[in-house]
Amino acid sequence: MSLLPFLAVAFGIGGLSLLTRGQGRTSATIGIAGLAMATLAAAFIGPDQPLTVADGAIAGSAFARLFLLLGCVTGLLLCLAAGATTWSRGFPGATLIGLGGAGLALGLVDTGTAIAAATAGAGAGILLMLARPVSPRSLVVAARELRALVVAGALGLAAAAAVAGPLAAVRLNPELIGLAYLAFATAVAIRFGAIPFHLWAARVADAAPEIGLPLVMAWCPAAFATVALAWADGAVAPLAQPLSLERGLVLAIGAVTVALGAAAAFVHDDLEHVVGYSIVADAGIVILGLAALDPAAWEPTRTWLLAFVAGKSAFAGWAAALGSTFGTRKLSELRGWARRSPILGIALVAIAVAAVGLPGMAAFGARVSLIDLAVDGPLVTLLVVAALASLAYYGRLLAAGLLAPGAGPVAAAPDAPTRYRDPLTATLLGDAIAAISARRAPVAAGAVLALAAIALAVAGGGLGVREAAASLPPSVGAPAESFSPP
Amino acid sequence: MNLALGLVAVVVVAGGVIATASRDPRAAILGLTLAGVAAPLVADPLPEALPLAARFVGAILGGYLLWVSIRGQPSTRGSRLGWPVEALLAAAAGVAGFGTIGIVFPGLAADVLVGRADVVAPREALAAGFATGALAIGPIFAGRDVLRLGTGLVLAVLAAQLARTGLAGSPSGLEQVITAGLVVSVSGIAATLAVGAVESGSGLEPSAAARPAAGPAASELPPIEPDEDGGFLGRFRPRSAGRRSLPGR
Repeated sequence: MSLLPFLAVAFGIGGLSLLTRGQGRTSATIGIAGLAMATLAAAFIGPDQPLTVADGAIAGSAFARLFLLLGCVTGLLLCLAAGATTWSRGFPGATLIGLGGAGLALGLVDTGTAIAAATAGAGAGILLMLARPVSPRSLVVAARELRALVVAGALGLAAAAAVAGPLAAVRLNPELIGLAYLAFATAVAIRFGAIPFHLWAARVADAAPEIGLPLVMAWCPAAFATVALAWADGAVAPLAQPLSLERGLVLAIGAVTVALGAAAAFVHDDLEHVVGYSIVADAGIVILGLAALDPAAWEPTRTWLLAFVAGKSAFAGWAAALGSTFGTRKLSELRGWARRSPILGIALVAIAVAAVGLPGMAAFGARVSLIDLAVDGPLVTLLVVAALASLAYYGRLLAAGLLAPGAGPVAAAPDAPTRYRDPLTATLLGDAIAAISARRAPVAAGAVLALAAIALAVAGGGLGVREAAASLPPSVGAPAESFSPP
Repeated sequence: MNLALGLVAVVVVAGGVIATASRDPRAAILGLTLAGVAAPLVADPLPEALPLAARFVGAILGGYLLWVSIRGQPSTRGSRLGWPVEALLAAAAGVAGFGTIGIVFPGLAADVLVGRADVVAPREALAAGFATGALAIGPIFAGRDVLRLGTGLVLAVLAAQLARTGLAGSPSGLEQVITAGLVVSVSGIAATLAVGAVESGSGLEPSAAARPAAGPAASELPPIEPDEDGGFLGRFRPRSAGRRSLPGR
């Protein structure tokens, strides 16, 4: 019941914002107001008894509350950063619809319904790639993204139907259990753009605005992965099949994604690609959580998912702010950026600490636990090292920022921001807009710093992350939060 | 076998064949709409009135969005194999789907024959799901035409939902409503892509004229122009004269 106000705001105002997309300021104002209202509504979501709607059931949970709250707050901060740098038309509306789909997926009891909701909501992110004037290139990328989205959804629907039906427990062919598990895990890998499904994901980084990347590549796929994890834990694991071959394949996808994703992020010069591949690399850990197929992986996978979405939002916001502040997104042209913009430098350090983690932090522990559950022996050490390789690309970005600025865009940046006052916006709201307009780079940097602080808090286990991650998904006949973490 | 369900399943598949094989975009959309309207009826028990109405509205609205988007487009790529091949492919897949229940749930088919068990889910739905899924493969993986791609994707959604009905029984009313939303969502995005493709002057087939993977250097790019509609705060304009932005931003 507590989820319904959030869903009403997300779909109602998000839809209105997208419908008025042609009128930039109106759409943005509606969308930002909607995000603020959705933040309030998300704060009131709580674990409750499922509400029956048309033979289906929906309920709030601590995980849904934190996931959606983080989504709304980071969405607002990304709006602020984008408003001060490069606005992306339709971003607030798409964020609202995407989070609405995620909220519905997290609240629905039935897996098949949740998959349909997660797939439908994620479609809004594709609209971000179609900012006018639409280029043939962005059309091709958006078409590929739509294809990946629907194929993954169809795979998930078929897999969930095969294993969750009334005959599954007594008559299901054991070999088909493995096939269904593999199909759903592959669907998650496709949604995250995991290797070998990464080519379309790399093109998404070209076509989508930086601030839209977290929605398309992290938030919506994370909701889908949460549904997959709940299905694997609730429907596949109790059937007690060994599934060695299938688990091995999923494990290989996760391990290769972790290692090669970080390597790709390290070698790319373009900030968008660095962000895109860093999202892909960290998503590999989620796939390892599915490969573990162990109830013990439930809490660490969901902890990692929360840290993942918060951290990648901050990283994408940082890239957008840096690119717009200095007018280039090529790292080779950004020597000395941290000297000219120390706030962004501090933000990157915080983002790196949140992403890589330190012993004792929730995200760090979750990652080590998942690797430990997924593999044995020396592979554990290898995978931990591969997972920590993200330090290399964060270090490269920071090292470039600490060098002396060369004769490029960084050196040409003015010392003081331009100030202007538009007489047409001399109202109370206009004063606020004018204030942001006058100090765009510091406002963007401040928003990124706030995003980095949230990412750090989530990775550290603050904001109730551990309790939310340990909570059970909603189910009919049982309270949503009956589980006590060990 | 339930004859009425079988007939409705044939209607779904026929709609799918028209949608994938026709070169006339309007005929293709009508076929898709027919498949979308008939698909929820391949269920036992049938959905209740309101969820069924939601599926009808979803299918018709999805078809309408596609219809509006291709206004003025004389033709779509259609199937290179022709409708007889598509129909035979669908028929073969349908037969395979009808018999699949014996593989998924071994022993069940024999139990049903000797009267020891009832089939809890309609096999006709599984057959229609397999047939529709087979029809969707071509447009999805070889469809450069955005209308054809959209057609394939909607058919994939219908196929997954039919397979779900065939394996796990009739979906709940809530699932029917959300499936209707999914059909509208996929059709709407496909329609937006089609409008974009037509506006960009490439017909329904946007060319993949690739932008360099890493993006050009800042010095190679044209100067930033002020944003037309201004967005929230107007587009950010770098303050130094020499700075540039990437295209498409």
